[in-house]
Amino acid sequence: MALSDHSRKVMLETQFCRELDDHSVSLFMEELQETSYSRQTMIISEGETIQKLFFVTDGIAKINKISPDGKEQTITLIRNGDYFNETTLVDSFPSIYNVEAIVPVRVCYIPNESLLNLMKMNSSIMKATLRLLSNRIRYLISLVEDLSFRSVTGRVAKILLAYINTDALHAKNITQRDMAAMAGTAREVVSRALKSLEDEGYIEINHGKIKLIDIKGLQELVDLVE
Amino acid sequence: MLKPIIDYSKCITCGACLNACLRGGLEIIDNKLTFVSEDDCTWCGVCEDVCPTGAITCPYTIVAADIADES
Ligand code: SF4
Ligand code: SF4
Repeated sequence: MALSDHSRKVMLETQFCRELDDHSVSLFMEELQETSYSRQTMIISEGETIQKLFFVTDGIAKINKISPDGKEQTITLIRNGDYFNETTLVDSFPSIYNVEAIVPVRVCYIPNESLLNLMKMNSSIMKATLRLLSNRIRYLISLVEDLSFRSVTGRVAKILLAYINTDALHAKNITQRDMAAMAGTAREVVSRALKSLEDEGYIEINHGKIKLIDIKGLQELVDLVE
Repeated sequence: MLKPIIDYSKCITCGACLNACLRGGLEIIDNKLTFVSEDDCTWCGVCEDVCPTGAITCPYTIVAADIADES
């Protein structure tokens, strides 16, 4: 079935297609199929094996996971031109996340087998596919860094709250090295966490003094990581 | 003038902190570690990090804004 004009236009604007010459774009587009999902339907369920690479051409879907205690965690939202389910290109393992349409969603997809055949025949399609995989790895690494930094910031916030001095005569002092040992990280990371807390207006640092400006906000940061 | 706190009973004058100080503020003079910079120590904590004996520190006092403003 031919793609709708809208999906064709969105696909041509994806980074994937922009990297290809005209001939490779036509080869790729010929293999694409289109389908749509109504609001709140599962496009992929965790544990399911779907051998297709998808591109969203309209609407918004969310990638989420359900934690063992039943809480939903949204990993990311995917919109026009974003792709998903790329991991099944390299292996046939079941999906480790759910993909759910949060509004009506239109997607284009290419069966893995067709894409793998195109990759064998056409080196620019192979390069564009590898780039798509490496972009995802880069994104995930930055997400891991961000999450671990956020958790350190939460732990540093907890230490600051625990060490508030109320008695000027018997002031307790704490060094960055002490905080690093308590937070289980390196001193440089504590230094970055303090700087980010200051930049975000939670604290003010003036040489030997840390003034806690937003105690409620600091407590919220602690709650986020506990 | 802000200087890091040096505990001379722990300092073994190894020189690790003076090589690390980005401000170039530390020197060993007459076998004694001394903060010589004309500018304030930035309290960056790097010297504290490299000191093998915990002799040099940049401690913080932590106060709530309302308490800090009263005092
Ligand atoms: S805290 Fe930083 S600026 Fe101050 S003495 Fe140590 S290394 Fe130098
Ligand atoms: S690193 Fe520590 S022990 Fe070595 S000179 Fe500096 S303060 Fe002294």
